[in-house]
Amino acid sequence: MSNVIPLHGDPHETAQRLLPWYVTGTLDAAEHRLVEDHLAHCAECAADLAGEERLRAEVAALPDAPPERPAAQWELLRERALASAASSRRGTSWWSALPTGRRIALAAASQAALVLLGIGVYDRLRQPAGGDYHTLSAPSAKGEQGGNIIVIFRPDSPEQAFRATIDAVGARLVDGPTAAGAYVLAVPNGRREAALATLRKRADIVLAQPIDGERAE
Amino acid sequence: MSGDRQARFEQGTWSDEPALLVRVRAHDLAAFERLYRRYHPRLSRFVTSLVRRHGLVEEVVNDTMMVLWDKPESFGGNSKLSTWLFAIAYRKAVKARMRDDEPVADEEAAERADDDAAPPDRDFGRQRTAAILQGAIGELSPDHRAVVHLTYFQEIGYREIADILGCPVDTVKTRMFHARRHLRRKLSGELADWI
Repeated sequence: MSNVIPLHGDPHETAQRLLPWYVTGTLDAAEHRLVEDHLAHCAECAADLAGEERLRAEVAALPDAPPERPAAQWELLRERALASAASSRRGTSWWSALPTGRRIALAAASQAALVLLGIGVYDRLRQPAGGDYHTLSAPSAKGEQGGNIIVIFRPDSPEQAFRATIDAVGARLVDGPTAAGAYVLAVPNGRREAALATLRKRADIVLAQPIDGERAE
Repeated sequence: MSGDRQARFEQGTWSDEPALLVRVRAHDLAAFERLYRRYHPRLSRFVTSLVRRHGLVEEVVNDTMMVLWDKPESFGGNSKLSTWLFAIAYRKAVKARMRDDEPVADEEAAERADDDAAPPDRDFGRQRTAAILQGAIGELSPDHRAVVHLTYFQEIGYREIADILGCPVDTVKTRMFHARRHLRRKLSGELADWI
């Protein structure tokens, strides 16, 4: 299906290939006139035009799958954006910080960048509640590896499945749930891609993404 | 995009986009949210035509929007913002599909079409047609599906589609030609009255 058939200036062939965009009204004036002039005296293309209009209408009317948990999706993206903005100000990894509360303000993001530089307050930031930001992907005080995968489980996932999924990829639960209901997992860096691939195929996972090192293009 | 929606766009309903982009460059989260809510439905539907697993769709859409947030300066204004976003989404979807090892054709859609190919019933004719059409679209390659979707659903011109997919305009026309032929062949028995 990928072979390209060049146009050779045949008005009939040209009109045939432009019909979809003639129907949607997206041709430029010259092309629109070319197709219109051809349609006036080509019964085959005139008949095709009717079918083309119906085909476009039927495709455009096909039902769309509703997005899953749209509010949570925005919350997740919002957290990523805030963390990225904070990390870009620090000049460090784009997901080295995550907000934990829905009420967090943009002003707190800049404060967080300063706070994260202070070792003395590090332990306070690691508390699951109360702090505005904490470094979910940072190493722990015990020297353990920080989180490098963020996942969202289906809301109806039982705890047993939750544990089984984490065990299946050899991960360690680092933090969560965040405001978007996400959890941060840690897996050895060499196994992260394999872990992500496994997580993404599990039915109880809505989303699994790397949270450091894979900056958007 | 409906003709009415296209007209509203051309009349400048979205003329707030330059101002929103300036605010996004200053990391204004409210401006970013406004653009997200504007483009999320269109991007989601487009990406759904390329990858099937829902979690992967959201991942691609969010990654696409993060490019806007992280690197707004990379949008030079030489194209519509929608073209730029669709192009990023397309590249990310292709990568995600390869990484996720998704099948090229939507086998489930094809199976649904087969299941729905029951004897004609006037009461269910429309649903039948939609099911067969979905199955036929699912049998297309992702690149052919993308052209069909961008043409019929998003109502984007072929030159802009070529920009989005990063291919020559003749390739877009050829893909559409073959895709239409496939869809017509699949629907010919069902819709002989209008195809």
